[in-house]
Amino acid sequence: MELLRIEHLCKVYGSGENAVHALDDISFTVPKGQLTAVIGPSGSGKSTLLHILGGVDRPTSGKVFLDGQDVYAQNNHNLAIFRRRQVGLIYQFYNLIPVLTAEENITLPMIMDGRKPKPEQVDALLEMLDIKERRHHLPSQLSGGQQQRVSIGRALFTSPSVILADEPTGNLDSKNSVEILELLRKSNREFNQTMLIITHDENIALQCDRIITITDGKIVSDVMTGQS
Amino acid sequence: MGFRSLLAKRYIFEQKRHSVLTICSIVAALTLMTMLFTFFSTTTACLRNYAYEKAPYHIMIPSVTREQGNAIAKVDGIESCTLVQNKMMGGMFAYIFFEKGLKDEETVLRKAFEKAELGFTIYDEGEYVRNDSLMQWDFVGVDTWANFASIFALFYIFVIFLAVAMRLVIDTAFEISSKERERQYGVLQSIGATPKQVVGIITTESSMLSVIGVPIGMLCGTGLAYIAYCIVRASGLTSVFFTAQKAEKIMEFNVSPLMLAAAALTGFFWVWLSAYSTGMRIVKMSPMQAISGRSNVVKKVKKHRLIGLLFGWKGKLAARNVRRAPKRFIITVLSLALSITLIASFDYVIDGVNNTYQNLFEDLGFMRDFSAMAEFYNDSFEDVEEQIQKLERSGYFEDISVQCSGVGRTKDESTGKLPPLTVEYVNEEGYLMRFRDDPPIPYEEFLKMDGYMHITPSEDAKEIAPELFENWSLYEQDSYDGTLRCYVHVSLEEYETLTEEEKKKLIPEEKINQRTGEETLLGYRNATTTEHHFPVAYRTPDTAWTDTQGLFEGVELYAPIERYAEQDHVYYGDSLSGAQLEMNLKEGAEYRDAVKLLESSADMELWYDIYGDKKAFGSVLSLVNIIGRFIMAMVAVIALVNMINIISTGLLNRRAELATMQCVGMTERQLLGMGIVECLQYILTAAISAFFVCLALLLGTELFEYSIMAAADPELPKFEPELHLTEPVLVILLCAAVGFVIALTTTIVSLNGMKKQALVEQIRSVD
Repeated sequence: MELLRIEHLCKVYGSGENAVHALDDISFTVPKGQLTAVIGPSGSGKSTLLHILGGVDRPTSGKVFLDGQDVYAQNNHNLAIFRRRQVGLIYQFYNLIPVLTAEENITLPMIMDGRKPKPEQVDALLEMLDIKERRHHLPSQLSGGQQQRVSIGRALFTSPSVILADEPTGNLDSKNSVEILELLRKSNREFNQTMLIITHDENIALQCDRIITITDGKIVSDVMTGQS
Repeated sequence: MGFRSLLAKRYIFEQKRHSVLTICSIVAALTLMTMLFTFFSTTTACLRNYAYEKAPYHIMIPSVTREQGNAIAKVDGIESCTLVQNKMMGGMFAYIFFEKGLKDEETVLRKAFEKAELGFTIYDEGEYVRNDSLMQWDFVGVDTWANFASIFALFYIFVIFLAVAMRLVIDTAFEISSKERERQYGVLQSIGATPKQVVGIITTESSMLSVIGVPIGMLCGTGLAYIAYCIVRASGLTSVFFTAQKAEKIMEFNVSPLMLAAAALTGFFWVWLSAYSTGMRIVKMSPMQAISGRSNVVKKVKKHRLIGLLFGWKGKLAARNVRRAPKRFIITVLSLALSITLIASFDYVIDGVNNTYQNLFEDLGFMRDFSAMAEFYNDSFEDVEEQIQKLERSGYFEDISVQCSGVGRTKDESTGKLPPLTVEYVNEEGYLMRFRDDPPIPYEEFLKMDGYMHITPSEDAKEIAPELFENWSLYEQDSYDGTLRCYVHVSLEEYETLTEEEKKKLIPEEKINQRTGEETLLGYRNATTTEHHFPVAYRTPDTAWTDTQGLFEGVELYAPIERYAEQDHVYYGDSLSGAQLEMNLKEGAEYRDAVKLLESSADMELWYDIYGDKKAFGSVLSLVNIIGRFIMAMVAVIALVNMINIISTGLLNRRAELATMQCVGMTERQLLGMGIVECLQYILTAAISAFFVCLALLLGTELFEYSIMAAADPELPKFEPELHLTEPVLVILLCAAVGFVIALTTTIVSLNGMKKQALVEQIRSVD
């Protein structure tokens, strides 16, 4: 069942002779529950693609459909709600709110939605992320790996339709990288979570169901790995 | 607690420095605003008290009985009815006060008249007196609130101007703190915060800061307003308008709850508006722009050759850094320049305006505080002497000059024309005044002269109107034969004996009581002439042409006043005469009592009260001085707070960059050098801008002074400004030095604060 459909997506930065075509007529679909890796050299447009899919950056042209809904047909208000409920974003540099504790960072999207988080749900997630004893710590008091776990927890907490991870292990040591990836795969397997992961790491890419390679803003290869 | 309040509270405590500086900005704004509102409520209270002092009632009925008064007092809507004995006509006055805020006072009054059985209605307006002014201030009547609202609306225009000016500072404070958190707001949006929620976080933060800043600002504003009130009372401004006793009753420092509420609401709203517009600016960016800092991308780089030449590569870097946020640079420089300009030019402008006004009086010939005409009616000059002695004995006056004038015609032997002849008789004070205390010969010599002093036209007059003085031989005669205007008094009894033809030729002589205005016919005067010979004992040119002398092309002779007493009847007849008296207020004498004495005299008419005019102007200038200095101090504080905020935040925002520079080899000294150049850019730009604005202001002041003089003297030479720039320039340099020291101290403190972290940590710049 198709969850995500991208049609003729383009993103141009600047204008005239300074114009940079970060994405150049990209089209593909992603079925529900698929774990997809997006790889490519630096400056190929991977992060741009992810940001547009996540609704945090508008395309120059083209369409993005999530669960049949045209993402960019919405106004800013509805787009924010879309991000809150349908998308979970994980960044390379965590991007936590520094004045909120780990628990508060995780529950923030639900609170913004006007819903009260269930304590048992919070406990379960913190347990899964192995940061239960650090729940009341600020990001400045957590290690890199712990911060990334919090970031993953924030992305998972509202059970979004799709998780988008931009180099989630890029800032971590190998041990933490393995653990983080394991978490993501667990979420994909247990909750049938659709995921797109940007990565430079071939090993991580090979662990995914599908690998899309982007170069100079175009998809140059789209292969199934046979992992699913 | 909602997440907005939670985040707002956390941000306030996390960024204590920003929060404190934002609170300081709010306090400064509210202080000024509260001062304005308190000034308004104090002024309205004083105006109300003035209306009460003039007539202490809303309605006054001149004659009532005690029973009638009691009946009136019991009517609903009447607050009080006080009975006061009418000593002149017997009976009692009824002073009626309506309840404050009463709308339909006519109905209440009608009921009161009916109940008291006064025998007249509210339409018989001659039977009672209304004090509409006091009723207006006590909000009695239908349109009073509307009238008050329109006055308040006019006043509110000033508040808006102030709020717009304050907006610059508060906007800057919010912009700086939100700039640092731009990435976080982007993250919040990326995880689903709507634009409304993001703006809500910033406005919630502003409300929390306002809860602290607004009350403190209002307290400071009320305190400063009270200090200003005390200074105004001590300055003597009130004595121009009231006696000391009346001033005590009328002047009242009033802090109106309504005005305080208005100040608080305005303050809260204005701060909220600043936060709202900052938030709206942030949410215009896409989340990714905010996270990646794409809005901070430097798009253009100038070469800054001049700064590079002066300060080297540090200067170029500093110049580029400062121009990254052009809006902030402009706001900071503008506020600093305004502050420096105010400080440098204020005294100059005030002194210049004051000197112009004071000198104007002298240029117009007003060299004494008061000018009056004293009339004398009998055949003797003793009347005037008696009046002068009365003035001297009163203890209010000194330097009393006396001048009596005789007019007529003389003959120009060379042309045969009959130019005018005036003979002025003066006492010693009048003599010295004529020559502005620099007479050609001492008064004792003038007194002993066997003849008359001839004052010829001045060199200025000859230059201005040479055509009038072509025949100079008129002014070189050794004596003049004058045909003088002479009036012979005809009594009322004598008048009755004359024929109709003869009566027509006579001019009525009326004595006007200057106090009551009552006119009494004393008789008539018959115009005739006498001829006399005036030998010239001394000749001197006039010192300068002045407007009072005019371009007088006749012959002007001077003699001591004692000679007038001898010549009066013989030369000028026996009719009504007058003496012009000019005098100064004695030091320590009560001004209002002195004026009362002059105004109450039946035989003296006060012409000019120059003392009062100068005092009123001086008092207004004092008030402007006081208010101006307060505003100057506030503007200076705001400008400095703004500068400190921008410099310190600018450095902290770039700590990663600065750390990177140190990593590649920049020493701490070189870093400080770059910081010094940045400070210099702010201060020098502000100082140079202030200099040019000052120059424009000083030129404008000179032009203003010239236009005042030109209005009085159309023949004034063309405008040639004489700018005394030394003092303002010195003040600008001093202010620039102080500003530079503060900026440098801020830079050093900020850099030292950053040093506490290792360079690597600074580069990572974790929030």
